[in-house]
Amino acid sequence: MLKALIRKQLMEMFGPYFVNRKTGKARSRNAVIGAFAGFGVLMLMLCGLFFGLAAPMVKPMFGMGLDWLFFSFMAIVSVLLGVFGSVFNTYAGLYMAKDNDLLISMPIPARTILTSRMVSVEILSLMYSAVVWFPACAASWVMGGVSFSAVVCQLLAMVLISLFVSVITCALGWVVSLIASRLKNKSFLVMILTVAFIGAYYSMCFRLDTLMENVMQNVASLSVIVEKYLGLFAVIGRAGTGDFTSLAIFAGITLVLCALCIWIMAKTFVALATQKTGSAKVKYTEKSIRQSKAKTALLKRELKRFTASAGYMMNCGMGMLVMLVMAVLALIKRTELTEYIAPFLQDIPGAVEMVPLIVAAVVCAVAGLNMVTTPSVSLEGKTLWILKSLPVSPWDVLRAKTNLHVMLNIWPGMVLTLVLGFCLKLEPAMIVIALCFVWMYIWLTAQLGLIIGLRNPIFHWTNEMVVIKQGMNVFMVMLIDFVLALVFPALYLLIGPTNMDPRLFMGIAVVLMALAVVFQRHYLRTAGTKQFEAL
Amino acid sequence: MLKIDHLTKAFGEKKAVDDLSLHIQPGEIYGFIGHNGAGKTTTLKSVVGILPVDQGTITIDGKNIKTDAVACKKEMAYIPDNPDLYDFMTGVQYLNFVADIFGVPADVRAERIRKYADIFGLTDSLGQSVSSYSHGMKQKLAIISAWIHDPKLIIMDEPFVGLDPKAAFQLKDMMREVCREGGAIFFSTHVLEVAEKLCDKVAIIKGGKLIRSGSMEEVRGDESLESVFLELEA
Repeated sequence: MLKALIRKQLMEMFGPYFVNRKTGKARSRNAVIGAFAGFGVLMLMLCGLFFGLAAPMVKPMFGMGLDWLFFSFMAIVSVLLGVFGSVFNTYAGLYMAKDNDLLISMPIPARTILTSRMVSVEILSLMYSAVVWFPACAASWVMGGVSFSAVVCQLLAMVLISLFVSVITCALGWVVSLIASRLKNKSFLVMILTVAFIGAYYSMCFRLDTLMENVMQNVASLSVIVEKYLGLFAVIGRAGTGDFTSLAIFAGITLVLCALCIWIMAKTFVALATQKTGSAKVKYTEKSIRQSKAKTALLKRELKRFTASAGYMMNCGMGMLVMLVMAVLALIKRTELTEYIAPFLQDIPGAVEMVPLIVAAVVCAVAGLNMVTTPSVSLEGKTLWILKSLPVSPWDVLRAKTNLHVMLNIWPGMVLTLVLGFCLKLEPAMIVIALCFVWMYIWLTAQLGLIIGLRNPIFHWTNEMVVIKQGMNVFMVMLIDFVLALVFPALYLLIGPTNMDPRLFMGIAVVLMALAVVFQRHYLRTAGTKQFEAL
Repeated sequence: MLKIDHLTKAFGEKKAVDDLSLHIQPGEIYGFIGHNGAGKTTTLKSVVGILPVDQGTITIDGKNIKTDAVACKKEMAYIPDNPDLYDFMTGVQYLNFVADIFGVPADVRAERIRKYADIFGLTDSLGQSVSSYSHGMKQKLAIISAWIHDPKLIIMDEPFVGLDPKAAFQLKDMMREVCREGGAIFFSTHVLEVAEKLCDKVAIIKGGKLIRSGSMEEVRGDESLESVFLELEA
């Protein structure tokens, strides 16, 4: 029974990678390889990032005989990233799945349904925690030496850490669900909790440099703190060094916690999974109605869908929040910012010319985190018949989707560009070009997301997070967005910043992107509308 | 009003609808019956432009659904067999969205919402999220949204499923009213008694092919519609 449920869960998660749900036909081998290669590149990039974080700590810590503290520290980062990565998925995945009623009506124990649902949480947890833990282990092998027992322990610890992360996220999902069952507006609560969580997370990320410095400066006292207050992480750290006893203790604790988690959650699963979602029962009182044009109505509909789902907002619109936070931080810390980059500008030839392009690329890289259009077609799900039976052209529908993406992103993007331009004292002409650059990038990525989302839609989801977070489309768009943000700075570096005026280079980049936007628009208007009609 | 000429629609190798022709005049309530999988829903979805037509033509008031889809859709309304509506909207938001798309003036839509929500006893719940609605309430909301723009042609797929007896009675009344005012209704049903009492004309489909159609008297003769249907299905 559990096996069948897990198979269903995995099919929902990975099925779209192998089978085109629209046609029911298997994807070509090249398409499958391409999708997994893209995903692999993204993972490699993240691994590289954390390798860079871990590597400088290996020698000093191993030299002081505090190798266990190194692994403890990386385990903490790994758990934090794992929880951050999968927590948004858990509440929706466990309690909001559309097939909960069906499964509950069958002779399946609640703990079996829960365990099968936890498999997808575990896969995400493993993915997120491994991108920290594995590079940390690799850094220790390269710089601190390698032994068979350590490698075995580290790999087993990686799986256990992901299980530990799953337990924490499931517990958080359970708490959110418990609170939500007593509240009128659940979406709002999830949103508040999520924003608070993200705030705390980014606050930690922004202080990562300081945190790292503190770690390195106070290694000795930190080891006492970890031993005293974060005992479990000290155990994980020792397991990382190849201590099988510590690994066994960690495994025992995690497995007991996991069993306890399933047992407690199973007790309340039916009640929480079958609670009515949506707003409270308020008696309707007639209010004055304002008529909107059809195009405005479509745009408002997209906005309502976006704001109604905390998962959609957080996973596909987080960049907006980050851009605003970055703008505020840049304004507050503008002196430090200019002081920080001053040596680079003096020492590196061509660095001054690169600044406007880097400013624009940074804004674009953050704006690229927003993928509002990508899951928007799949999210129509079973309600697609409404748009298809109403007197609106497919182009109007598609345009509403891209317009929302641009509308939501353009303002934070412009604000961050202006603030960075002001803080770094860019000349007005460069600021204008940087604004155009960001504007075009946002259009480009909005339409790109829609094109990809339209080509591979998934309509038969039981949990919207499948298309919002786990879909192949989202990974692909995230990767392309990231590459697009970096491609122009890389090209300019290749040309040599002193060989070409930055105004000219950025102007050419803006024109190229504008041409791509026009081409995409034409594609959406012709092939895109046909694809929509055929859905 | 609605003319279906030699409609053929296939999914892969399988023909779901095979060379089907029907003509529905203004003022007619046209019933569409057939066993599960006979091709009723495919036909209805093709008529409203949800499914592209493989062969044949469908015209609404002289306009072709293939070449002039938006103009055709302006003339009609569709209620599917399973009312999956926008869970992220409240009832009244959904009705306003549909009314905006059809360009129904604010005062007119307010009056219609009031009228039909009262008829179906849905007024108090209009401020609630659609996700909190029962199947029947969603069905009622879908019916109100279909009636909100005063369509000339209403296409319904099993419209009585999930409705309570009072609401079913009201819906039949509303259907007759549409036809009295010169509109037309084309709907599928498995409830043969309802079709027999309500419809002016009826069509029976089997394996994608139309096997009988015409006025109720022509189709059933001296027998009951149920007997005729079972004989044809045998």
